[in-house]
Amino acid sequence: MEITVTNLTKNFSSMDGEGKFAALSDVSFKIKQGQFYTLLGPSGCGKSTTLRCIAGLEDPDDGEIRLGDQLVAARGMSMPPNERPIGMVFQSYAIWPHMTVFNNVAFPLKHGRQRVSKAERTRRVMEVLSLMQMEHLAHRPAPYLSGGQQQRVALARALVSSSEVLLLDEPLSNLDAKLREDLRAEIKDLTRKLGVTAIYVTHDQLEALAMSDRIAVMHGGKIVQEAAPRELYLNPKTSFVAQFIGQINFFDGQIVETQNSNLGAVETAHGTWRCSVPSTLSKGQKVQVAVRPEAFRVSPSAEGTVNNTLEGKVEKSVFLGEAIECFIRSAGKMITAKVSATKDVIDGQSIFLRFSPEACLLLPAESN
Amino acid sequence: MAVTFPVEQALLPRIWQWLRTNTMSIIVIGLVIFLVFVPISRLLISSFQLGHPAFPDGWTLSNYESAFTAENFYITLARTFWIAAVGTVISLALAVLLAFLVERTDMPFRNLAWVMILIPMAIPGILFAMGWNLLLAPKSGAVNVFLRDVLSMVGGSPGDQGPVNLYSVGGLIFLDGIRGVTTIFLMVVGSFRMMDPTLEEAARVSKASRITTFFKVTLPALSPAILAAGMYSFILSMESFEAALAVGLPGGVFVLSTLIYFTTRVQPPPDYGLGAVFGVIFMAIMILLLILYRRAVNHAERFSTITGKGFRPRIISIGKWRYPAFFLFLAYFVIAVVLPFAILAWVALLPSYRPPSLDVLHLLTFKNFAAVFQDPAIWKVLWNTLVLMLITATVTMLLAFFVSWMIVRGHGKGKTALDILVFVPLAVPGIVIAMALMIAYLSPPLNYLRIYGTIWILVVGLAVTYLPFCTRLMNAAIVQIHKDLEHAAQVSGAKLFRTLVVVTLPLLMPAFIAGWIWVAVHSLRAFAIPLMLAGRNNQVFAVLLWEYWEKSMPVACAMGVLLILALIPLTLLLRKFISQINRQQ
Repeated sequence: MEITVTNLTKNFSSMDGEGKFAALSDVSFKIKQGQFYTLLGPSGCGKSTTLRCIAGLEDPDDGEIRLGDQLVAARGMSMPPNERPIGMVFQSYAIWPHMTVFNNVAFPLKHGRQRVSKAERTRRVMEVLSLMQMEHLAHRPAPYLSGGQQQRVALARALVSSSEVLLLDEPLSNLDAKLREDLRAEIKDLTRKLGVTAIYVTHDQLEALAMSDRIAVMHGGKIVQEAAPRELYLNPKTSFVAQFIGQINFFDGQIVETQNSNLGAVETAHGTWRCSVPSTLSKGQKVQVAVRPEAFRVSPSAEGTVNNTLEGKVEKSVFLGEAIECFIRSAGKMITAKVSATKDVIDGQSIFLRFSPEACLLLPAESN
Repeated sequence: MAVTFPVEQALLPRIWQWLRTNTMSIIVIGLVIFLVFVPISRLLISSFQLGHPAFPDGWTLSNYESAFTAENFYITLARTFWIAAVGTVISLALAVLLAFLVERTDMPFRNLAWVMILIPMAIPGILFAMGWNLLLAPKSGAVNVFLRDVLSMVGGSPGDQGPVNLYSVGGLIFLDGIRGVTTIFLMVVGSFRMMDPTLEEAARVSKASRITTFFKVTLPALSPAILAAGMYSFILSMESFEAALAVGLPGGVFVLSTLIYFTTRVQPPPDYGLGAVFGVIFMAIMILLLILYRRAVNHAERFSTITGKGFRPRIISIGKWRYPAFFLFLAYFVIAVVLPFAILAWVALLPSYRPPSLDVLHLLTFKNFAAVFQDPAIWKVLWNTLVLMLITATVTMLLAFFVSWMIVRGHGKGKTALDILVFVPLAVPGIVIAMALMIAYLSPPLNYLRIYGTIWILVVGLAVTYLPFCTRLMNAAIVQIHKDLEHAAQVSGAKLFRTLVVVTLPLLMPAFIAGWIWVAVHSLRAFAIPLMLAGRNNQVFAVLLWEYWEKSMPVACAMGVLLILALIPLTLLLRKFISQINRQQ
């Protein structure tokens, strides 16, 4: 089922009761049938509010939401959540403690809109439980489950009525790291197999990158960039997105030269670098050069390379296993670099960092 | 959920849609308005009407005029205040002392002391007053007879009355003072337990003596809690009706509640207009007191010495006072329970009232107990009592549940209005609610419902009275339930009403059951409202008991004994449930 959100706007009255602040302003996006779509952003960015508007748990002040061809929310109109074709998984699991696993999962078929006969209900509940490999727990009271099992029950409950839209509100954030990875894969596989359209809300960029077909990064009640994960990582449109999707170093600079081949020169406090200049930027403009920590190569001297270089002193290094994270001071600025674990990096050592022109990104300076 | 409807639709379908999405809210709010707002406004209207409320003869201020010019009105008002004030001071002093002894000292038999404090709750106010009436009535009271015998033995001439006269202001103060102890004790004992002991330890290491510490640190730190409990108890005493009826009326000592009862139920012909005025004034006073009380409580909450950490404070050794301290409990127990119960039991076993003495032991009989069950009306009355208990408890708790849900989960002005609306009955004395219902259901348009004189009007009256307590209980319980649990049901396709019934209600079952038992126990012993609204067909046990009290005292006593024996286990059960919930939270 396609989901179309147009100009969604929602205001909350602020805590002290005076005035209002915009939780969402003019949020628009479109999700294709069967897509796994993620709303990513820091807490308070409006991602959960957007999801809850789609679920019908909040009423938008303005804008429209369509599920398929059906208008479910518009200005002054909101279809109650129980009439929308959705399933939802909550951060708190929201497993009813007074029911067994079976009854939790059977709830939508017993009390929901499309009720089915008892036999059919049992069949479908057991089917979805077996999909989660949880048949053996069917008659266990819900409080006697681990966190991961509870979240599986919640997922089963959201899927059992074969709703075409699955809403997931930070479903993994209360679980420990290992379990999170397992469930991440499970959720992704399931949604693909069942062909449901999924909207996933998270503040965890790794989760978002690993699971999504498309990601919308939200900040201050607005979508700041919407793209496929790879595109988002390699080509962030603003410094906020660049920073939020993984670590990144910023260097202030000014474009001093542009060429036809798009490879221009940028002057920074650390030297003049060659970078690819997007057509939106022109000579003389102030920019930020963004370089990911893993784009740096370490070398003992500056010579023998066409690449950009940067000289600094290692202040601290942390061994992470697959890499070494180095904090390097250069021209008064702290830079983070991730270098191969096989390199020898000694604290206090002077080193050169190299990076290719393709590995750096130019962003307009005022976008911060 | 907000009030919502599609834009594109025409007006009529829009209204229909609005009604459909908000059915539950409309029914619940309508019911609350019907229960609380309608009778009270009817009372206000009646206070400005001439003649019988069903056939008013036009508008007038003369009711107010005759109330304010009647001399006995001012005296009654002053007397009501005086009795409540002095009675509260007595119960406050006693309750604080007892709470301190049981929580903070090494007094022996502390568990037993707890039970002795709680048992009085099982004795309805009317039976307590009847018991003391039998003990201290000026002429025939057992204690008075005994004292007169002693006096004449030592050569005095005591006459045929006294020496103690319970039918007086002093008598009512005594009864109110003793009755108030349990409430205040239960309200302050927690603060004694939860108080941060480092406050006292700080005073002790600052070289203050133990006595100085108690008066300069402990008491001031607890004073907000004590003050709040005192004010609450004062409000209850202002409304108290039973003692004033059983003891005040024979001596002509009126208070506001008995004045209303007398004006509308006893004197021929009843003056509803004047009664309504008394009720309105009474209500105004109580609302004022309640506002003061809420301020005091808010203040007390800001004054947070009570951290809720649940540590055991230091036990103070009181040495040779340990046993006298326990005897204080014993004395209180004897006055509050043993003596009144013993005299009721004694009279219940006699063919007619005699003061206790060995000479009449041969007359003892169970005939009165048999008489209770031989009364042809008794089965109907027992049935009424049972039905009233079950229906009131169920209806009140269900209504409280839905109202509380709307208060806790709702937003905006409607929520505040509803919160106030269900709090108001706390300020309306039972006797005033009863009168308001009487007037409202005797006159058009509500008389067409034909519930006056049936069990239903009692259900309405009791439900209104218990609604404030029950909604508070439910509010606290609903706050504990995570919203997501309800939202999960709604996104699973369940309608709001179904969500509440299938998910929310089962989750707060423990609190719901505790509230249910609380209402059941209270409606079993309720007296003022059933008496005020009693007709031929809706008599309950307590009302029949009162009828017997006026025509055959020993049978009334037998009924009283039976009622107390039924209430003791229920009360203890209730305590157990409520303390369980407190522990859960």
